[in-house]
Amino acid sequence: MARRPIISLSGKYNTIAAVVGVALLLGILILAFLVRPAWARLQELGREIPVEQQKRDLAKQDLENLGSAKTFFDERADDVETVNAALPIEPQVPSILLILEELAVDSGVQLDGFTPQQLGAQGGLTEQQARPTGVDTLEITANFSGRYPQLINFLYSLERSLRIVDVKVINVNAVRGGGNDPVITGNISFTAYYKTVEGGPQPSETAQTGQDGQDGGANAAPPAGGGP
Amino acid sequence: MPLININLLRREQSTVSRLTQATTIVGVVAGSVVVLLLLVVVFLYTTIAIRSGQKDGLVQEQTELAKKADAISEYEQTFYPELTLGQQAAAYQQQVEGVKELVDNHKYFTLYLTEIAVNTPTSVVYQSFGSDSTNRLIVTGSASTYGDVSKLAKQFEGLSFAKGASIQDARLNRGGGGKPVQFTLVIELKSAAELDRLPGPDRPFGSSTGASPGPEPTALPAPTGSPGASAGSLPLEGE
Repeated sequence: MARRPIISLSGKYNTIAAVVGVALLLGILILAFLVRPAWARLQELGREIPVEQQKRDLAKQDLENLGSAKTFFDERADDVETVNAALPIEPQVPSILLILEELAVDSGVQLDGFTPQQLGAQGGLTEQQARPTGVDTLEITANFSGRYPQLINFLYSLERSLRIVDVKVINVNAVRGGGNDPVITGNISFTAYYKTVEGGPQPSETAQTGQDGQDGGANAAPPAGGGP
Repeated sequence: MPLININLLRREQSTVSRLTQATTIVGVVAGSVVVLLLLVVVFLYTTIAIRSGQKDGLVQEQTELAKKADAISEYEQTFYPELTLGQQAAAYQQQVEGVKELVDNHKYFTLYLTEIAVNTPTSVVYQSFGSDSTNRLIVTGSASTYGDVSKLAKQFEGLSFAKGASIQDARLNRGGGGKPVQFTLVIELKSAAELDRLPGPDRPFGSSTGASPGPEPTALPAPTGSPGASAGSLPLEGE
């Protein structure tokens, strides 16, 4: 006859199993609901922080650049004025006509019938190739009459004007009067430049079509010069 | 110290004792694992808190920098209405580049006309002078013979501002009055930057009134020794 065990060991095994089970369950719960999301958040922060650092560095750099720009503009106001007179950010047709008028009066050439024409950046391919990037052009044609030295004086002053103006074409229609100092009549085309910038004034569509004197009341400019 | 059931045999007592020890060990190990996991959790959340603080600090710093930048950006100048300081700086830079290029390619007609006058024979008269954007000077006029046109083209090649010269067109104009041979000559211009004798202004862009206080026009190089030019002026064709 088999001897009946005095003590049951299954209780001990059950306890071990329960401890292992509870520990396993707790471990799984901790991993699933605490460790995993925390790890994911850390990874996310690991990606976000360098981006924010980069943004902060850029903002710092921007601020430094702006500070430098402000200092530059404060200290070099004359240069800024000069550059803006040479190549303004808008056509400023009236100011060109004033310059032409003043130079014509000074040199004795008579200029009349100004015809400004804004070409913008829409000129022909050849024009665009030769023009500095983004620089727009404004063409002004005027009739002139004057003696040769007066014309030369006018051109000489114009070439050295603060506003950059290039003579494009000089057409001679007539030479009147004999001797060594005849009166020359013809027409002359000038090219002036301006630079449209982002955020700045943009030339209107109608102005760019180049209709006579539609910009800035250009045709309102009186005939310039004292005549020959 | 494990309790010993005195009613058990020695072998059974040993088994019970080992099981009790095993239970204890399993309990301790399991507890340790759980505690370790909890420590990891604490570490992770502490790190998250620190890193979040770092990120918030960076964001805060950016906001402050942006506020300062906005304050500086409101800088106003007459020449750049309604432009931020950044846009003004960009505009100025573009303007300077544009001015540099324009000045390098500036057309000095007084220099061209003066030298052309010196190098023009009496048999030639001019009708027009034009420059194009490809840095060429196009001269039209009329001459007595084709030989005069050819001679003129050769003369033009030696001009100080010319890289070269060529005859674009020459034809006989029987109907009209004046000189019979109509011609078009093309002179390839040197850029202003290439000219040895740059007739530029005394100071970069002259005075603010538009005209520079450069040398008086009388200081222009006098066209002397011209075979045909009268009183230093160009022979121009009229009606």
